[in-house]
Amino acid sequence: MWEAMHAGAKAAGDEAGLRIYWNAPTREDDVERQIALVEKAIEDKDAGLVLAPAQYLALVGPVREALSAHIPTVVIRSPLPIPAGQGLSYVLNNENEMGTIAAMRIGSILHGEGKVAILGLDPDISGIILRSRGFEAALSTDFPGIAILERPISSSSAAEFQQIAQEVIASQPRLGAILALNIAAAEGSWTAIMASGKSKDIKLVACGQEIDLMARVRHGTIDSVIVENAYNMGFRAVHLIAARRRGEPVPDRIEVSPVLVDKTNIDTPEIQRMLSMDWRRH
Amino acid sequence: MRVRRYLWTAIACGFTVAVVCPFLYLQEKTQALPYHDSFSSGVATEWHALGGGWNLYSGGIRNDSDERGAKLLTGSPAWSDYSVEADVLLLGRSGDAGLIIRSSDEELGVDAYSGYYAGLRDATSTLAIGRADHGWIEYNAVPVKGGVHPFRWYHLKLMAVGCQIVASAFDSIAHVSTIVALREMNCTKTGRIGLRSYSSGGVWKSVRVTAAVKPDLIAMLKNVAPVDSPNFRQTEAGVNSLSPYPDEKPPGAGYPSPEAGGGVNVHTLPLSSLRLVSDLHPMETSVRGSVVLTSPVLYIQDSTAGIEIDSPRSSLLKIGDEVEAIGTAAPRGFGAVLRNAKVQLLWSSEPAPPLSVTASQATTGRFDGMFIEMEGRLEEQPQVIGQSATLNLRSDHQSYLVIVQGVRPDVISKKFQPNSLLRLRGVCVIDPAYTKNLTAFVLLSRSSQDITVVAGPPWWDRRHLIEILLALMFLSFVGLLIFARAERWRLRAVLEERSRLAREIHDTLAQGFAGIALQLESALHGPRSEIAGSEAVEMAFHMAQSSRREAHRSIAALRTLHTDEPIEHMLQRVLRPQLSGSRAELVFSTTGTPRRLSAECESQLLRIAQEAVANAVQHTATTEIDVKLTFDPKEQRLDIIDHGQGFEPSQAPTVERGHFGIAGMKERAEGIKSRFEIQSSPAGTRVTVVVPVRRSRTRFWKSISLWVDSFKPSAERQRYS
Repeated sequence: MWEAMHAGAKAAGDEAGLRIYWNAPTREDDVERQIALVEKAIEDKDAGLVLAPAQYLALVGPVREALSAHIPTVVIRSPLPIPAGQGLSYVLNNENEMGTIAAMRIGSILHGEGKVAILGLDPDISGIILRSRGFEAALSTDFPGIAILERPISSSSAAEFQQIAQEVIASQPRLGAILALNIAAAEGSWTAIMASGKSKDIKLVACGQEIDLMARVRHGTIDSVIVENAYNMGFRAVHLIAARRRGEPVPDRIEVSPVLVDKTNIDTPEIQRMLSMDWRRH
Repeated sequence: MRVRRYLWTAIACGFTVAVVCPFLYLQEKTQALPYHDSFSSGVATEWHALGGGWNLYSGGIRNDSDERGAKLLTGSPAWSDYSVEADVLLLGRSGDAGLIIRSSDEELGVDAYSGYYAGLRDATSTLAIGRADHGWIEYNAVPVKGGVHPFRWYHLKLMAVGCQIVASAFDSIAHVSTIVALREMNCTKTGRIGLRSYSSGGVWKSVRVTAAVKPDLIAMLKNVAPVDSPNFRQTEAGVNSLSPYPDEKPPGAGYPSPEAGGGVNVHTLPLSSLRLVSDLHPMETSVRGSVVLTSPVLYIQDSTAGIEIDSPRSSLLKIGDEVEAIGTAAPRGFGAVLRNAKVQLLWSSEPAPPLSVTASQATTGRFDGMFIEMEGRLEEQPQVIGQSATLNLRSDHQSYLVIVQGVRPDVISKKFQPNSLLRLRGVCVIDPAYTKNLTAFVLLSRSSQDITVVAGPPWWDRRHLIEILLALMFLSFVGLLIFARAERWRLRAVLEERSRLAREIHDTLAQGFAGIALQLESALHGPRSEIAGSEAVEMAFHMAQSSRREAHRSIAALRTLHTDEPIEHMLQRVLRPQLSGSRAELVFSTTGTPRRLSAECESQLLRIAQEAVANAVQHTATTEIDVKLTFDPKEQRLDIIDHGQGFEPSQAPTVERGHFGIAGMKERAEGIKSRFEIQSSPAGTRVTVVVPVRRSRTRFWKSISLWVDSFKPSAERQRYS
């Protein structure tokens, strides 16, 4: 996903005559390193800052410092508790739409009837909650015959998700589908389904972008993956910075629609460009 | 002379420092080839880590972390055409491990460096090669014959000659080689080497770097054509078309695991529940968790607690791995230990972030077995035994120990100074085997990278105070020496000035008064004739007049020292009045381009000229006195020539005979380091003074001199040419 976002950012940068400095912590939870990168942008007096925050609260201070230093800032993927405006914009994944797409997909493959479990519900991540709510709302409206069996709260590892999924599979013999709200939940659920030998009976719909998940879509052991349009987010974020530097009015918030990837469309040029790992091509 | 000697010594010292320091710096920066690592000797100070958890391990170095893009770097940024090779072992799946060549501009970050990388990737069983430029550009990835397997050694070699980069991987079990190469138009020409892993731990050993030339490259390529541009595999379809993974088996069943296990166990317990087990009733149980420590013992933790796993093969696991362990649970301290455990790897994952706690919170026992982060002040120098270091820290009125394995002893000793404020990460252990009942708990850290210096020791510690005191004493001593030397110079200048004035007084007033006194005495006590008495008084009167003129002349000469008048004009103005009342005439001539000498030189020349002219007028009955000034590039010459009667050198007036004129002229000439000559014959006398001209200063020093002169009052300017 990050390479696609890098490609989008570079495409917009080339268009606007901006050079892209791209870096990320070696661990996704390394907030300290991410703060250090924001401070480097302030110190270098960069033309703009695009940030995918690792945590909801920890980046508030550094982003406010960047705004105080008059560095146009765009927060992507998930929001921070700072109102947009005064140099700050958001380019976010449309979480509600992601949940709706998942509901439409599961409703379609279960033909409007059956049982579904939701895994990966983390109350600490607002995007996941929005995703889940979007799913439930769309499911209850369009597919009232499908029941949501389990929505255990967990914020931990793939191994724990695997254990939870195995317990759900063991206790719910009529389970028709699992919605995995993040990659760790998808990994755990896939492993549990494979271990149970019920890959034909239980369909797995996952949220997130990971090369292994795509391989499993190709193999048919995962029904579909709903991916964030990272290329589009990277492109629009840098585009916003360029527009703000030119003094043009820019929107406070843009929500980018996610895309469902399944066996039928995975090889289309649009999807392959979205899943690209070559940040130089656009 | 002594001052000059000191000056030259100081210049020589400065020159030595200016030459030697850059040489040593460059020598340090420019490591020579060939290079061989020193991991087996336990010293790896030349390596610099960016991310990861690097520890010395069985003669090699091990990164115990699944971080994306952990790097360990060494070598010279000037290395150009060379090869780097090493034995490489992957510690996990879905990642890669390999070598970097021609690296520069490195930072912490995923692909945050500029250089070339080749790595073994087990998920796709490929050998990949590409270029990083703060973003990864993969040129090619070819399948490795026999596949890429975790926990298997491969010999990896990466060579760069010109703009061609070639990598080979040799499987020591299957005995097959795989080669991949790239070629760039605008390549990175120089840089260091590095060890790197991405989403997987790894072990590297026998790292060697040797210079390479084109025949080496051709021999290594073995008819493999380098690719000129990144290939199609940068797409999802390209990568997954290569991948034999995933198969239909869950990772726990089909993946090479440190322990032979069966399938995954559904009925596992949260780790916190094991705290309730009793010594009397040990319990067979299955638990799952994420690995937070592998050495000296294995610890895993889940979201509820952490426990020690007693497993003989824990070294095959790495930090972040998610595992299932089956064994006998027994209580230990505030937590539990799982004895005789069989461990099965479920997932490779990134390390869990630590919980931030205080020392007081750690003493409650609630965090026993958990991966935590805390701060503390280092109480004493770390104790290093082999590759294990123990640090004694204090925080919140609590003392605790930190034990780190696989450390580089010299790094530990240099990096962590007593009284430094440290931030530490490690597993909190409440076990008398480690605490010896001296502290409430110990932290078992994974590597020295888990310890960072928040603030160094305060500057006012005893050692620094003593150093400052010694420095002050030394500076005071130097100041006193300089002061004493300056006082001596000042005193010498005063004495020299006094003797000059004494000479002046003697040559003029004292001699005059002596003569007057003699004449008056003769008038008083001599023959009582009117004629003789009036002659003596008249003589005394003339002598008094002469002395007065001499006194005026001396005063005038002293005053001329403070004017900007050129010396040729000054000579005319001062010498002409000396001839009043005599028949002699002065003839002035100047040869060459006039230039200024120092005030001291000009003053002494003036006084010598005065003395010489006075002698000529008084003693030679000359009618013409030539005063010649000659300005040569290397010297300035003054000749006073009279055409009088001259004198025999043996009859020359001397000090012993009470005549100070010639001696005074000599002294004055010596005072300005000039040559003084008197040549006399019946046809006249020539007095010559030759002043050597100092070597012309460079343009730089001239400009400095002019700049300094610009701050002086105008009368002081134009003294130096």
